[in-house]
Amino acid sequence: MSSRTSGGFSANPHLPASHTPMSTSGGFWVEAWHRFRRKPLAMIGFLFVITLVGIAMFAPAIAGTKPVICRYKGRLYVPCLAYFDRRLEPAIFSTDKFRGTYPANLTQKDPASWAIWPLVFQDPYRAVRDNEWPGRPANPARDEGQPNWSRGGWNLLGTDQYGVDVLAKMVHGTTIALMVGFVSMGLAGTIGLIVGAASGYFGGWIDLVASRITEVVMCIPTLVLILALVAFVEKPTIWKTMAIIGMTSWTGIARLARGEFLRLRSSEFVIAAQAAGVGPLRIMLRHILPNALAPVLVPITFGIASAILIESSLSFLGFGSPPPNASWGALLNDARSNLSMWWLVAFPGTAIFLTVLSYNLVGEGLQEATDPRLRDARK
Amino acid sequence: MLTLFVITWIVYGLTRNMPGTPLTVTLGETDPSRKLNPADIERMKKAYGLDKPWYEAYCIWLGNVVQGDLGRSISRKQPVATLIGERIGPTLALSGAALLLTWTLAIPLGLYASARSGSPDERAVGLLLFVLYSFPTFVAALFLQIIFAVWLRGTAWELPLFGMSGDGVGTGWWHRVADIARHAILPITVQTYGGLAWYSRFIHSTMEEVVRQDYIRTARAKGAGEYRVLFHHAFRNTLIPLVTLLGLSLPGLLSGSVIVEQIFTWPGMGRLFFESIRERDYPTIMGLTLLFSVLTLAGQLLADLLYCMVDPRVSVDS
Amino acid sequence: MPLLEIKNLVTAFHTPAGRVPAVDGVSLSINRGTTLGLVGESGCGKSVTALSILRLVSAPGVIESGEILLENGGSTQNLVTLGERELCRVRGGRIGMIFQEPMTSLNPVFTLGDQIAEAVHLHEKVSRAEARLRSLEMLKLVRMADPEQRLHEYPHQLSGGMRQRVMIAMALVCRPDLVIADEPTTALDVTIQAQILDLLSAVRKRLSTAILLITHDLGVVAETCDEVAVMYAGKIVERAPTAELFSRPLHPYTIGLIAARPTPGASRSVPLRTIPGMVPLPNNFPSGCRFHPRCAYAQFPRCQTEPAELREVTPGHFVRCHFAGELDVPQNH
Repeated sequence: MSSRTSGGFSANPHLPASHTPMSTSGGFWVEAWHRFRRKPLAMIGFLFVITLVGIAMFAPAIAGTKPVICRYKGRLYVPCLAYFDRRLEPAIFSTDKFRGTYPANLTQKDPASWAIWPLVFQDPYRAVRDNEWPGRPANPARDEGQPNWSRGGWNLLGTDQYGVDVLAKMVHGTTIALMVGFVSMGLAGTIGLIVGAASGYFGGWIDLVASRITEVVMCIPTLVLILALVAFVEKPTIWKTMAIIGMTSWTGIARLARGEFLRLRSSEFVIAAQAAGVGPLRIMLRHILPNALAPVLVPITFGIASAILIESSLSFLGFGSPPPNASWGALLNDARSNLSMWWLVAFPGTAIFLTVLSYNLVGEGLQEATDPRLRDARK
Repeated sequence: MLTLFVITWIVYGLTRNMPGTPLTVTLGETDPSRKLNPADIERMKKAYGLDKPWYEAYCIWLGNVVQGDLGRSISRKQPVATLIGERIGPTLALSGAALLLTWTLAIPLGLYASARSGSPDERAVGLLLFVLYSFPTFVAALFLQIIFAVWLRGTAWELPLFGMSGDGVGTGWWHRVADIARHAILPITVQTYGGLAWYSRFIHSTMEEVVRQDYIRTARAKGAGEYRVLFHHAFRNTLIPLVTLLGLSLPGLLSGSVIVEQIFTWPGMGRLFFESIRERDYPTIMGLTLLFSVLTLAGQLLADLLYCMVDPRVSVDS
Repeated sequence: MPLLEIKNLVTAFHTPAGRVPAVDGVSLSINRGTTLGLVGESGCGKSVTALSILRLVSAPGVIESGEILLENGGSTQNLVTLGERELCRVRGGRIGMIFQEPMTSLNPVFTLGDQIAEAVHLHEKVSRAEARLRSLEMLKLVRMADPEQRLHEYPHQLSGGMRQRVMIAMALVCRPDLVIADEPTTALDVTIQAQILDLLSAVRKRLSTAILLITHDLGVVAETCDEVAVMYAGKIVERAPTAELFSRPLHPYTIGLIAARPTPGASRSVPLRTIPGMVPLPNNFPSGCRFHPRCAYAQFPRCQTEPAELREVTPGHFVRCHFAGELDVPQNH
């Protein structure tokens, strides 16, 4: 037999089999993505979220009463951006006294003008008036505003009791639904990771204090805390609601992050880094965080789903941002006072449901794709 | 104990710093012409202790609580303890029934899913439960209201929309119970389905985890049949996390569901809390917060106790 | 007629990455009252072979072909095709099993008495008192201190060695004809290992049970087994009576294994011999003789192209090597 070769098999059975540690994060994520892609339901959820992002980004071009692009008095304008922020509305239209009504004003004040209109000429904040679009009647209000497909489909999903188009409201509400998820969970994730990382990595009194704080926040029933906080806010806006949701839903992430940091703190590669004189902040960011990210990502995804749920519940209970509030939950709140207008429940309700379902499916898929037990199941 | 102190302290500080006081909110909304003159407001502020800074008022409140006095509701002119006493029954009836239903259905469903794991019918049921779990409570409540109270109006299937009891029913106790039950069907359904889906999925996934353990293989090697392995060896281990959850669901039993009670105008604790926040009724908010927090802590204690009972590895004294 | 005869067993795992044949055509036989050692490195398929006998291989593993014949009062029953109910009667009744991990192989929520007595109740119609008595008797047989008290204790209250004793008691309580011991001592301290092995031998003599001992430790085999089978990459490569195998190993792999054992008293300046290369993974077995990439003697083209068959070189000595007995091998012992 030949002599010992490097990396060779030793017949001594008491040597442990070489155990490959978790591969570098790049390889790990690529592999996780491959596993994720094989799950049809998770992919459907993922694609639905992507579609929602698309709808949110192009909302003013899908439904609105402001032109996507128009040429007026020799210059090009993009008035539809006003739906993202009022200040983006070109000043010339207010000095020329358009008062938000574009079609008639454009042709009257500059016959040479042209415009590209959104797919659906409906406004999320007000009812379309009679003849505002040449030849179209005003939006019906109250019980008559049921979904209409025959009259040329001007209100595909119906109108609310003031005659505002439901489809337009829902399209513009997509932005809120998505932002609520990302912003509040971004905040919750940041707080949770910082608290969890500090208490897991440093331990001692920091851990004691952080764990106590986490416990207190966990102890207060979530909705109770949020209701109290929302009532406390002087002028509720969607941003404040998001901040409150974020500030109350970080506890689970903190607990998980604490566990991961605690576990990885004593792993060989961290001890090696410490021995090499790497500072604690750098160790936490460069060495531990990439490894702790996968398990934390799963509760964040589920958290997005629950954040959307909480925001729509708040809007539904009338505790959301004040009108004009295009949130899907606010639409449902309108429906409560008039249940015979079933379309005010069916469409936004389904939208909330599908969005929550999609995020949950993505979270489930992510969990299975990154679960170390399932990962090591290969024989 | 310390946790309790911190929570009430935070909530007291928060509520007292909310915009508006109970006096301005309630009276201003009901009738603008009846606005109190400033002298009256001052007098009432003094009576309810609103003239003092909030931390001072908190100490007074805490002192009263220790003596067993939760204070008087400002907007309802009743002792908070009486209010809670009135509301606790309906909430307990609603969430107790929902909890019971959840557990009696979730355990067989979870076990069924484990026994048939991987089969087409289990996958279909699993997917259905996942979908149900993602279905928002208030959306489901509105859908059910439209179906049973609007579309089925006038048929035998019509169910009442609001409240806990109607008027004009018979006088016997049987009629009253039947009436309340009819009113409770929709709220109970709404409060049950989400938890049902969640718990049965939890049971299933815990069972999957347990079934992978070495001692399950030992049981099989001993000659235990598939059902004995599942229901005797595996389920007994699944009980350990399950009873912990049972303990933690204790506070929900009394705090009720704000949303469900609000939608169905069920006269319970959740609705009381919601209304008292609207009305800035500090004593009621504080009384309820205290109760919820005590219950949460008691639930954790109960969970620990139950845990000790089912897991021989943990003893009560540790 | 042998007590248990395995013929051409193939057990494969169907993973997303493809079919992985962990056991690939294994044939073995065990006679009543004898001990057969099954030796090999981690991943060679010996544990899967053991689990296959009682059909305990969990998904995605499947027994694809072969027969496992258990002698049954003059006739035989094939465990591969046996119905679920009869299989449960064999498990624990006629064949007991001891696992590698005593720390996790006992159910943490039941008392030891309950777990041993359950095995009795599953196979015999006895009263609770009698089952308890039988459990107590077994605990005494495996030399547990305080057996009476142990009956009411839970697994977490025992050390690893004691738990393994309980496992042995549980496997033997129904007086099976065969006990499969899957690396019963690997997870234990060296001193406890010896005790457990002694105990197994003693119990075997007492109850005249046959034992299939699965291990990677040649020392254990030398001390306890009547016959040895060496497994490599899903196949048996050599089978012989223990004394014969150690004095005249014929397969280059066996030769390597024996040479790689540390010998007491050997000069420290002489490094331990090793076998070069890595154990092949079951999803990527080499062509021809599966050992040829690591074999010091495989200079022949035949080794790379033609799979070797198991041949009986001398009576009772089987080798899977094209050139068994023809190689000029330095003998160790």
